[in-house]
Amino acid sequence: MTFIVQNSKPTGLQAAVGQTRKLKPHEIGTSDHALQVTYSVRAMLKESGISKENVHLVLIKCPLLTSAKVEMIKAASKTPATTDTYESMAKSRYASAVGIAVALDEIESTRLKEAIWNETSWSAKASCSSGAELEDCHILIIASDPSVGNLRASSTCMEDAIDAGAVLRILSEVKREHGEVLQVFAKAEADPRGKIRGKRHTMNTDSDIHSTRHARAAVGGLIAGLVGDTQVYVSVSSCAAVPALLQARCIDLHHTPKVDANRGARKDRVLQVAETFA
Amino acid sequence: MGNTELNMTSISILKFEVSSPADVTPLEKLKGAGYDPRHILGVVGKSEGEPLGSLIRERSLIYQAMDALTTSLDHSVLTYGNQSSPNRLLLFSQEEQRAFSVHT
Repeated sequence: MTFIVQNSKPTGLQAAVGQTRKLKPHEIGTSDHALQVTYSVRAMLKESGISKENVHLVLIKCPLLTSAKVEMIKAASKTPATTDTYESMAKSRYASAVGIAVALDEIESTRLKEAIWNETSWSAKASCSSGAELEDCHILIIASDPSVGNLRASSTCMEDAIDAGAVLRILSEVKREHGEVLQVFAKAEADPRGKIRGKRHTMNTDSDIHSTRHARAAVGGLIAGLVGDTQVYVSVSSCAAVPALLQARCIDLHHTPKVDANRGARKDRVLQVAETFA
Repeated sequence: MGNTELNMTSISILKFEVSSPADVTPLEKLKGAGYDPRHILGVVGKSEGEPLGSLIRERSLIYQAMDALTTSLDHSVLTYGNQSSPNRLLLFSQEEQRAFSVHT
């Protein structure tokens, strides 16, 4: 269990917390959903003074469509993003991530609707999950403040699910600074094209286990092995029902360096890695 | 636009192992580390559940975890889901199992 806790002293990490307004059921997973996320993230950045360039991770817990909500939408003569409640989880995550990407200028504002429609966009900073208990999006922004404190955040992108090099490059930074990983936040997904580096993978064709579980286990195993810690956070990004992967695949490596016995110095870092498919 | 009442703040990140979805001993460990649960901004965790895909079962486990957590904290401190959010706490969770080690 990972706690993100306020600290009265500068740590080198900053956070801002906020929520969107409650989304109407027919808005979930749509461009309206994404737009509300964009509004909220932008407002949070403005009010907190956090520069978007220092943002490494935006965590969102977003609503999904339940059967009851689908019926409500139909009764109101509106159209749901999908009538499949499981698919709505991916739609909601995708819309949330698009909203983040627009707020952080990863996607131009004028292309928001296009991004929702084509489902081929992605964000290197977003980590979104959905839950039936929510009607709004809960947002947590984590950013670096490199001028102070002992914690740091870094991020990068993995080219595919076996891109150990991306993780190792960040771990080498940690080692160079005599750091220690505090936590990793990652997003993973089975490549919807069915191949990794030209070789067929079976995550999307397993009739017993959903590809989301395979992806988490595979990427989780890779990261855990490289970091040397099984307690890393690896979450699923989009889902097979949504062929593209907007969902950001993010890894945060929060590391605390060894204490320098001579100086009592302590310097911590947080690294974020994002995996992306070409 | 929803609620953005909390401005930028410095944060620390602490990670604790749990023995089950209802294990809330990390809260005591958090206090032991010198932090007040009222200052929690977010909880990020993973649940454990049926490995072969009973989503209902998994959700029951994550709700079990949430219930345990909310019961253990003063309700004026903790909010979840559709409840109002007087103290800005967010809970991020995944209702699915992981291969190696659960966090929630």
